[in-house]
Amino acid sequence: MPAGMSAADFYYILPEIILALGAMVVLVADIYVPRESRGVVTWLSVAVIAATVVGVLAVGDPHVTISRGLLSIDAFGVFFKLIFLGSAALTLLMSGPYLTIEGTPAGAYCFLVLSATLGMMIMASGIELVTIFIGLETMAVAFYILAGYLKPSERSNEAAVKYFLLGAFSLGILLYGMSLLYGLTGTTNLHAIATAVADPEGANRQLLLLAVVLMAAGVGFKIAAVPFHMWAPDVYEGAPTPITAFLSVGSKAAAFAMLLRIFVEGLPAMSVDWRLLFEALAILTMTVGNVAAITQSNIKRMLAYSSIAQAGYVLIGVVAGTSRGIAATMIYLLVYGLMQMGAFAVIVMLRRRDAIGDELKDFNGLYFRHPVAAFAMLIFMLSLGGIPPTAGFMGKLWLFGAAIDAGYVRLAVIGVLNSALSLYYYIRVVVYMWLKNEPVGSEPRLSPALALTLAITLAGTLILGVYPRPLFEIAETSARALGAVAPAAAVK
Amino acid sequence: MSNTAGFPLLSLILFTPLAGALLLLFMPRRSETAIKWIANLFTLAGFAVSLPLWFWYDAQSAEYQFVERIEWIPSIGAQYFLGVDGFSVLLILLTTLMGFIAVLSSWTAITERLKEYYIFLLVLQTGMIGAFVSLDFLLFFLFWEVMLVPMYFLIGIWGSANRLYSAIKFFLYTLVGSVVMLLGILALYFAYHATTGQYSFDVTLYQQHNFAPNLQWWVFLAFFLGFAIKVPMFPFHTWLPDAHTDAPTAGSVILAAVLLKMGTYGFIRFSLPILPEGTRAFVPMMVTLSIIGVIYGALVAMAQRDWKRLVAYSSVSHMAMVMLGMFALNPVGIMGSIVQQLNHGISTGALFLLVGVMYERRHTREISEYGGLSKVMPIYAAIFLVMTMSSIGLPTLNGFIGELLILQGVFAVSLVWAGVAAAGIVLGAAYMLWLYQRTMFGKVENPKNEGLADVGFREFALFVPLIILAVWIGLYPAPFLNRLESSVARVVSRVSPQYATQSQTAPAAQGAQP
Repeated sequence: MPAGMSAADFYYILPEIILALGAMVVLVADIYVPRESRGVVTWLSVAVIAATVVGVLAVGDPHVTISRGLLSIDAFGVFFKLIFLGSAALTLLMSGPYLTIEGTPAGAYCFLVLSATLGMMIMASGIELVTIFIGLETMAVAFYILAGYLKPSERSNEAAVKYFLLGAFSLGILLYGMSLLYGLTGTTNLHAIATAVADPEGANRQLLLLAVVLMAAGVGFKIAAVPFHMWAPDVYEGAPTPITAFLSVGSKAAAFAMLLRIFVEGLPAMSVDWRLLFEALAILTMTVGNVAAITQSNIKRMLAYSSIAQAGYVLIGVVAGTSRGIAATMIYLLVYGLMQMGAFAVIVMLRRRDAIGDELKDFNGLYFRHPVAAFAMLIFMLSLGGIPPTAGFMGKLWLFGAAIDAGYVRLAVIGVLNSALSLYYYIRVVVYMWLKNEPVGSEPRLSPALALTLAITLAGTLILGVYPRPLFEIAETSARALGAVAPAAAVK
Repeated sequence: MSNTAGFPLLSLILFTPLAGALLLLFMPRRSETAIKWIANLFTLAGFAVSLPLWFWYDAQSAEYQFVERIEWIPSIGAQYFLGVDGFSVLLILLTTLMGFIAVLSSWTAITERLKEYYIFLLVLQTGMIGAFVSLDFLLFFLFWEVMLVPMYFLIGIWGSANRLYSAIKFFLYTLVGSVVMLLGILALYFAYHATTGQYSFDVTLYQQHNFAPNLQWWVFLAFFLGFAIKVPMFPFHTWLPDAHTDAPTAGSVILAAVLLKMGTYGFIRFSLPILPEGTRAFVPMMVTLSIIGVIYGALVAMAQRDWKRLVAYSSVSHMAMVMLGMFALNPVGIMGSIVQQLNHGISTGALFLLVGVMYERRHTREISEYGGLSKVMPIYAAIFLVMTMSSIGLPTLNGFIGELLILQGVFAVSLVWAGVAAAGIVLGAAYMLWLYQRTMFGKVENPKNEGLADVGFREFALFVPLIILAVWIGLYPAPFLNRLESSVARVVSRVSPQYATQSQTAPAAQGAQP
């Protein structure tokens, strides 16, 4: 038994252990499963995720710090872990038919998705810089490979190379910031850092500020905040569609978990500085993302810019920084996961042997070809745009509410104007699907796994839009585990 | 506040159309007749279940009635909280009636994608009723936004030539207004929490709370954007002519009769009583915009060559008159404003139906294509005459009562305003009568008009309730005015407390009876 670990510690990381072992079983199973029944591997991976979810729920929320302060097992982590596991499961469900069409083997693919999820889970529970970084690396490496998984596709290869180069670069910046912080405070534990930084006689403010900026830039790459977003559209367009979905939901949520851990838990004393920084990032990210999305004709690219803008909205919750703001961030990430996954499931559905199906014109008259898919996409687009009665509205309500509550009225105003702007391009998809009368392409068919994906995401988006009570209550409780920073000012 | 009905009457009214929409969802696309029947029956049932509101509503009580209150999202203090007063009762009845008429009017006009068409109409119906019955601000906003998408599709799919443009214009305009309104709601919500320590979206609590004047000022502006775009007030009216012109007949009818009332309803239900100081501060701006709207709408209407566009611009003018009466901020003016909202719903709704009847026959809305129709279609000409007279405010018809009350209210405040309002009425008479003359009188010069069939039985049935209402309100408005008294008094007690003691509405109501 390693030094500093007790038997109880192993119990608390049971979900991670299940996932790690399960991922290896999947990798090995792929070799022994006959080629014609490869679908089994996908379902096996979903089963591994289900087992991990059971593990997460069984361990629950003991709110303990384990392994000498490496990991914190708390409600905050549980909430995020469930988002990661859910999005991984949805990704796998929509991957099966997609991979068959693309003609690529599933085994290593599923293994990589599970590894990425493992990395995310560590990011969400880590309360120590090195641990968080290891989680981040685990996730990132898996995604580098996944982005380039379609070997014959030039777009996919380009995506992988771009993602790898920029990702490695950003990790370097992040690591530099972390090392500065370690040098200034003499510790990598976030709680200890918080104490050290709170001491006004302590560390050098200028250098601390530099560390904050560098870390914010590093995290900014991962959440694709403007001006660190350049990679996102190319990577999102080129990567296999389910991976794009996973990247835009899972990876983004994990980066936000990390961001909240580092800044809210580790650097509350620097909140004046990082709030200013993230406020600027939020405004830029929302606006640039939305404006750029308007001009796109490729739907994956459009959703890439849209997801940049969505990250901008989520940043509003971070800037608010209050318990309400953190809860809003968490609520919105979950809600966003549902609608984004759903939208990508529809795109995957349109992928046929003879058509890539990700241009806007491929949605032409979708309503006449497949009314159910068109209806689902309508709901996802409205939800992304924040129109009730969808979950997206409830999420935005919390975000903007938190901003006003914390004194950031200006940010809320920019946020709502942006969401009005965003509807212009979301509605364009609806126009193509419902109002254009010249159906093109073949009849899309709904495989059982895709149907399940659509059903889950659609039901989630609609139910949480009408009755969000349970989600709100869970998120509020979970957010409290993290602590919070005080409101910036009274309502101006 | 209580529910004298003993069962959730308002929920029943609210969800009857939605139940119809859900049923239609499972109907096979091909059984078109069945789909039409279901839609018609459900909207008729919707009207039937709303009728008890007229009879059971206690005009003596100043409380919100038929109240239903269930926890919805307790952590943020949002409730499923429904209740009505006289004002909303009348608007709900207007909604359910016009909803049925709109659905019935589509029987032959809509020939493609029937199932979706009726589903959207029914969902829209629920959204509108929901906005009128909600006493929880979040719930209200939810229904407010729910109206947006069905209307967008109604214009975008079943509209005429420029439908895509008009639909997106309608959508974005309204959306911008409503998101800013949402910010206003949130600002009130947190301000209420800051002073009382309680998270609540309860409108009745807000109506009794005195928010800081500075906050009121900003929130009034936020609400103004949301409501003024819906009304629509000058200069936010530009979406309306496009939306009206390109919408299918039923869409125009609903838009004119009910959707525009959302704006005026919002002002009277929320802005005036919750933000009395903000309201008073903005009277000059509101009155100026209204006066411009009255005159500008009328002048532009006069210049139109498109029949439907003319009626659309007349709407701008009439709704500006409604706003002018409201911002006299005295009991008579507000009473007149509400009555005129009903009148506008009845007469403009009918005028759009009339255009629709003609459009179905000739597929053109150019006024110059018509002429001499009174010889070919005498019944049509007679109905059109009644509705024209109602629209220009001829005594014995409903428009007169509303305009009289508005003028009376406005006159008490300013002679200049009253003068402009009167000029607007004259202009209104001019463009409507000129329209009537150009389309109905003279010789039938266009051979295409010669063999036109007069209104059939179904079409005639559409107009019967509207004509009855126009005459009823024109001759004996007392039942309507009585039901409005307590709502008006509540608003006035907040926004102009100096009037609260003296009741000016009672003599006005008597004076209005011929």
